Amino acid sequence: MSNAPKHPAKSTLAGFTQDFYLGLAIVVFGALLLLWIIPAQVNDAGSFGLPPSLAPKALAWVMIICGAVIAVQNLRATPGGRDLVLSEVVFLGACLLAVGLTLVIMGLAGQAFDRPNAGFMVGAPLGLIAFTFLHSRTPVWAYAFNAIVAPVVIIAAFWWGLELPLP
Amino acid sequence: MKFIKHIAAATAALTFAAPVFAEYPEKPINFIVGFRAGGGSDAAARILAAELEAQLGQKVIVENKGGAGGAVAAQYIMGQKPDGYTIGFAVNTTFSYTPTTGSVPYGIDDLDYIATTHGYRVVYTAPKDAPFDDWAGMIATAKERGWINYASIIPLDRAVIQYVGKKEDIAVNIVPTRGGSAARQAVLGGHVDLGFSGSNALPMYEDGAMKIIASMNPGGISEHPEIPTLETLGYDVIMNDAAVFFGPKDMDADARAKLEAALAEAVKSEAFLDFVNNKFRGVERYLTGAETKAALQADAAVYIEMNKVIAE
Amino acid sequence: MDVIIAAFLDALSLTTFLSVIAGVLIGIVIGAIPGLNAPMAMAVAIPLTFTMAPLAAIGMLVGVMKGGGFGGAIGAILLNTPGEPHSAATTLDGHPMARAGKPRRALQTALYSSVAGDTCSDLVLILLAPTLAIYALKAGPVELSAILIISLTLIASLSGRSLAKGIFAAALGAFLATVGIDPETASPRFTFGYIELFDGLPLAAVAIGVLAVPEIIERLREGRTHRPTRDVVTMSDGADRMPFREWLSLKVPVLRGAGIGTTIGAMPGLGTTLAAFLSYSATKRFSKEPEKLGTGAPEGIAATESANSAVSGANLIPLLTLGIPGNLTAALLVGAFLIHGVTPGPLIFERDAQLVYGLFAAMIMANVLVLVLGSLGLRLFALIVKVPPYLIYPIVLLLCVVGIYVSQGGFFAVWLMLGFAALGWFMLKLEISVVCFIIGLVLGPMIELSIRQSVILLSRNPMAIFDHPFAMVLVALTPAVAWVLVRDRQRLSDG
Repeated sequence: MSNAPKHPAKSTLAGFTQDFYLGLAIVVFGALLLLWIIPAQVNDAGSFGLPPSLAPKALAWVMIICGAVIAVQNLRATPGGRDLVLSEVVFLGACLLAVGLTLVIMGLAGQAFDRPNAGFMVGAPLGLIAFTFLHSRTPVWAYAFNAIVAPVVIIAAFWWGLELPLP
Repeated sequence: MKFIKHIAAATAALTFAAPVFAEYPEKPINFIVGFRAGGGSDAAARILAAELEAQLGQKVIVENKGGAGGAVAAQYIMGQKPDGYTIGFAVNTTFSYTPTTGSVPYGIDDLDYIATTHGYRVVYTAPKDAPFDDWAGMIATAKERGWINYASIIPLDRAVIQYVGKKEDIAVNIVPTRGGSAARQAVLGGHVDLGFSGSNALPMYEDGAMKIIASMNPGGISEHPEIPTLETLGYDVIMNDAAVFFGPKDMDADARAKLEAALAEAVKSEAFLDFVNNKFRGVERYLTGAETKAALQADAAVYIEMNKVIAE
Repeated sequence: MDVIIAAFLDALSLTTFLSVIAGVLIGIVIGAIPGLNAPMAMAVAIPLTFTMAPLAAIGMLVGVMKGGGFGGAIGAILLNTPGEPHSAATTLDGHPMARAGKPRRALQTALYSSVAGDTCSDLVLILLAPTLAIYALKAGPVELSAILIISLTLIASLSGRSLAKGIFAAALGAFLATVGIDPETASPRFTFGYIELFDGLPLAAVAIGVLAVPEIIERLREGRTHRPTRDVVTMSDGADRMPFREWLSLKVPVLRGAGIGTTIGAMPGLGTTLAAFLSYSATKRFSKEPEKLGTGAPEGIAATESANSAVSGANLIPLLTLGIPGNLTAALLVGAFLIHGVTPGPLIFERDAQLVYGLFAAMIMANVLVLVLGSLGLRLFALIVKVPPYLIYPIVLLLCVVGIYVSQGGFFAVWLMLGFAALGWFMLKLEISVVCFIIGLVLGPMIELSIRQSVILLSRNPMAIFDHPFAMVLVALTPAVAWVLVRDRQRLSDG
């Protein structure tokens, strides 16, 4: 889906719109579900009412039909609708990566140090620094606040306040 | 990063230095409850955790990892260090039945058992205006009409009624419901003829809101001896559910023994007895780790037999 | 009568009063934290009540339930972080309104509507509980299927500009909801070997993932790409207030929400999400300016919050008289009742009369306390919007992570949340309705299960369908409702 925006620079130009590709992608996704994932992941043995695979199959068909309709409706360029911008997708990737790395660090630190909340104490400040950096144009004191004050407050609230263990 | 190295060095020093002179437990114990927070099983676990804290003189950190009837917690515990500082809480059937369905990556032998602390009670309920009053009547109704509608909650109760259906040669229409209250709703509303329930049904039986025609747990319902059990009705199946404390395989023997002894005391505490008998309406049943494992193996043998009969 | 007076005196005792206050506060705070929600607040509070007297304990938990409802609205409105799927309906208008510089107005609308809806349904509970419960019990799988199908048709009007995209989103949500152990055959569906998925996708993680995280990511990105727009206008306090008189003009959506919420709450098995979205679509259908809904209209907030809260009161009807909870929060409450030796059931009004009437008094007290504490806190809560984005959004993102970790018990759910954040972000950018996705996710499995139950129940005896005239009428009406909605839609797009 992320490749779609390269084709139409503006949706009013000739050619296919982003939604046309979206429709096609949905049709492909639905077909993939029907032909591969549903048969591989659902076992109908032992059912005597409606089989477990009925609802997923029906929903996959609904998705295919909707995808086809979306594609057909957008054969002609329609005004309006924003296109995906590559830089925005990159930013999404950066955010997800930051959160993902934070999770990995929390997990590893939690295992490495045999203390309650250890993962959080190591991972949270690093994660917060990364998240704050993503915002840019941030005064330096905000980094300090986010990296020190916020984790302390969260630990105080969850661990001492609610007795809920953190990673 | 220097800071982290310092912490790492300090922690490492502590953990290596510890076993030389310290006695278990010398740091907080992580206690993984295999059910979501707020329910009856969780309440029992938390009461016992508080008792353990008092007995062992160390903090017991309760963490809920609910899912798949305790299997998520079992899988998690399997991957932890067997030093006695991470223990779990689930039920019998997490180990005796769930592995027989082939859907989980562990078996009875992949974990160590610390103790069984209390038993659950499970019954067959029927609407108060059902055309039968007892088990024999239910079978007769099913034979006469050709089928019986049954509200099921979990895979095991479904398997048990399938087994009963095979033995009695009756068609059981198994209606799946989500959770005990949904099954109770189906029974109270008369939408099914028979339903599965935990001890929540007992007060409703006492109020006359529903009938209870049999119990599945061994020993039956002590305060209502008129309710037969599946055993007394002549079936070779039971549904033996009880709360089990367990740990990773090859747990530190000293730690396991200390925990076992502490739990043996904890189950005698007033708060816990009151909870089990009067609130939760379960059964007092304490088994040591070794007894627990033997019981699990015996149960598993019964369930494997049962699965064979069903598959025939 | 003596019992009732004694019960009210019990409820007015200092201990009970203080426990209800504590409960309401716990509920509001935990409900408002991103990633946590009312059931979590309940789970945290239950162990605290172990040693308390029954009325104080249950009063506290009722306080938690009611406070948690309003707390959820705070997170949904100010931060777009719905802790439960039904709060997603509150974000629709609440968050745009807060972003337009009227956070207090939005919160006040939510607070008043929530308390009004709660009070209405509490009154119905107190006056009619035993009678209503008997009717509610008659609704079995067949009736529930019919109600759900016609409701889904009504809610389809929320699909946004493109009907096809809306239906796709709902189908995708419903499809993802089939993940987990199949309720009938007990074999896993789409679990890819993860036993963490056996109980299905954790709803809180999905809701936070598709709704909140993409929003946070967008706010962070804005900080990078253009000068802080200060869309959160610092207005004088006078402009950002909802005078009570003005709120009264919302009485129609509020009362309709209360009615829908009470009806649905009294019937276990339908749930808060359905009530919230039904009330919202009804308000949109009958609004004079339907295009304004979704852009920060107070009617939208009023409609969803009154319905949400009305469900929680009415849930107690089947809960007290039959022991059947209507949603997760109520289910935890049943557990707490049992812990305190109170057994819900038809005889509860005879056996535990004093306690039940004490509970009723505590409920009314909790409503007043939510109003009072909520009003006092409003100014404070609304300040959240004025915190600079580079402070608030990183912290909220971390809170989402921590909240999901704690409430769902591990990293697995957090990773899922992250995956759903990517999905939600693309849906946002491609204008695919996230709301429809959530509706599909919540209602899909309910419809599937009730239809499968109905099929099993009717399989041996198809003629029994004639025992369900109510369901047959509803099913027959569904095409007509669909036709009216499609016609509305065309008229709107033409006009």
